[in-house]
Amino acid sequence: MKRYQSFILHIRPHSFEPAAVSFFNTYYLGFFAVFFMVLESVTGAVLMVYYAPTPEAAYQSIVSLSTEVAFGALMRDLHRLGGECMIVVLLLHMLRIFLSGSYRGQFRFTWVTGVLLLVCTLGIAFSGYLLPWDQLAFWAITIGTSMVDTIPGVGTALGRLLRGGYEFGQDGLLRFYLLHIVVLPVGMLFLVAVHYYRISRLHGISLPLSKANASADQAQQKQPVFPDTVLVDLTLSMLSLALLIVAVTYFYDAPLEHHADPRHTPVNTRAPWFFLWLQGALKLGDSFLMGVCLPMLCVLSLIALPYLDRQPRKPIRQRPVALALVSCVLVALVGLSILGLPQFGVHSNAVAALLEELVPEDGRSALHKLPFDNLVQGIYEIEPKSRGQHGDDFAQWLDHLGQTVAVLGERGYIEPRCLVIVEDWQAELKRITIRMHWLDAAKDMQPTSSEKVMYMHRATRVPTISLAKRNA
Amino acid sequence: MMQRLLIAALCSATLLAGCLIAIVAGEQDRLQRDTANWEGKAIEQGAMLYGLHCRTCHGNRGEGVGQLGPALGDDHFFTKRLQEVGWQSTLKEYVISTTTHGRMMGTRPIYAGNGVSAVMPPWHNNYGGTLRTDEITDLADFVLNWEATAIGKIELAVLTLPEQNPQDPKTISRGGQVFQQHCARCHQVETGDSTSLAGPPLANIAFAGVSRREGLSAQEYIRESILIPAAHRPKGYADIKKEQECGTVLTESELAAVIAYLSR
Repeated sequence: MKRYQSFILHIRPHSFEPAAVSFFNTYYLGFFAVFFMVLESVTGAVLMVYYAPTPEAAYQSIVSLSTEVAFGALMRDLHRLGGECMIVVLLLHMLRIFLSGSYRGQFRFTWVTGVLLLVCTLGIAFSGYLLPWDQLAFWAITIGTSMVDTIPGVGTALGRLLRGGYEFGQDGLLRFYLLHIVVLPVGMLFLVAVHYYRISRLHGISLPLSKANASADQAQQKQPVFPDTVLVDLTLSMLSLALLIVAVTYFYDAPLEHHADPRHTPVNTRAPWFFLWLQGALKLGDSFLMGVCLPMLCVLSLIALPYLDRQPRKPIRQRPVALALVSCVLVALVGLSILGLPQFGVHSNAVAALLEELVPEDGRSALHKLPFDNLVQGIYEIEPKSRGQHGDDFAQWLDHLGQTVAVLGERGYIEPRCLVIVEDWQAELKRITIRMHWLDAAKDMQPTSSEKVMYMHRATRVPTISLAKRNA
Repeated sequence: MMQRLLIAALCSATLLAGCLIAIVAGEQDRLQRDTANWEGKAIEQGAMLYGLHCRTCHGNRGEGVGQLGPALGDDHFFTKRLQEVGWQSTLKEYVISTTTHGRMMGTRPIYAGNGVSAVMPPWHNNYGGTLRTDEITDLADFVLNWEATAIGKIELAVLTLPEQNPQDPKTISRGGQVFQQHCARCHQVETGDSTSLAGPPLANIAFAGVSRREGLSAQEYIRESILIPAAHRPKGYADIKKEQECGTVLTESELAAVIAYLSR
């Protein structure tokens, strides 16, 4: 027992002051950051066993996690959700330190390593995003890395170095894989060592101002690390893991769209949510200014913050400038993220948008939610109005489509009509054609039409998890 | 204090163990469900690819097209084809292999009708084609899914399309779409210079067509020209090269729509 104790104690301090272990002083955000780092390492190591970083095999290896590997889907979902949670935890951690003003004095360099850890984490999230090699990943990362090309002078060379060519292929995928599993994690481990060393041996845990002064008096009531803190950590880890398992089983599916296709650009490309603000910013200005300079400026100002702000520590209520600054940044991040959504993108015409909504490229339409046998073979002419019909699910879907077509009529499409053709194509396979007709006012009332075809197999029902999510 | 911590740790350990047991119990079902889902997706994807690349030679629903491509959805294909060619492996491997590599020589001594031998080209992008390995596997999954409803075994109730009214704007607009997709590479329907295109201009073909072939209405003339391109050749296109011969394959309803469009 003693031997294990000394192993733990050579990393952690022997004891903590009561203020340092009180939940509402720190919200244990640093602990949770480490918890997610460990979770990502363990699930990542399992995924590495099955993943093959080549364009030919990558996508199939992700599919086989769902279809062949026992607990494969669980591991992938945990890895994906864990990564996203880790970013949230790091942002909250940083926000707490900023608001409590404890980035001064000895904490200055610790803050800098924290900022670098956040950058590393975002880098790992970004490089990992490519690895499933589906359309979502391929195009988001293609757009993400294309910002590098805009750097004057070295941009093109740098972009090619990163992608291993003009576009992503074998070399680019391998480079991102190595960034994801070796380069960035090793850098991160080093930074964590410095970060944690400073906290445990140099200056202790940063506490709210009121508690920081009081803690010195209660030095005699320290909580020993072994067994108390270890037990608390263990309990929290097990609870969090159980919560995550419930979440990925009932509420969360790691997305996987169609296989990446460099020849086919999807209608909407959406950055991962933690880079959505950047996608929004790109819509506002030059891609070099917004895509390279803005994020660089953000990181540099975060690093410079403790060296610029040298005032003595005050409670947050007495720091109006800091409070205003942090509110502005939060509002800007949320605002830019909303701007980054596809709704604020380049608008395709209303018919194309409607067809894309009815027959989305990832193949998961609203029709996939209906019972397969409700789709009876036939030709359904949709009048542009609601018939107020309440039949089975399919009749209601058709009725809703009628209302949507009526909206087209209000948007300047003359005599819009819609045709839905359902055909039994093979055993358990239906072919659904959705065809829009209207008169083109710009072209002498010429009859014009546009259609999209979709195939639907009985087995590809939208899983109940995504169903709940879409309804919400 | 110590006791409370221990109890909390034990409770959370029990909770975690409960979650893990639930996962282990449900994992077999989950695997089966996901496997079925991905097999369905592969068939859907294969159907999409078949519609894009294969249907012009093998028929809209795998019934085969004249002497161009054999049927893939008939009973013969599923019961006799492997013995016929002496293939040692499975039918799926046969479809994948043929699609991937194509054929050096046709296994059926037939011609496409215009003197050019119809031979399956290689489709894999390693051999000059356009498809990836996973796409070819999806295609094979789709083709093999015809077995249950193979022609000659049982018949799916085919959707009978209503007679298309050539005056209906809907027919005309669909015809415009079909024209863009199948004809616009060689023919121009607007007035203006079209000498750079391989096919004759089709502006006002409804009027021009009436006088070209005795006894045929404009619609009948257009229909004949699409089905038998060599039946009548307009001036200046008499010595058209064999590989530039019109090779478009349309379904009956597409044909009716495009005729309505051209003679509007």
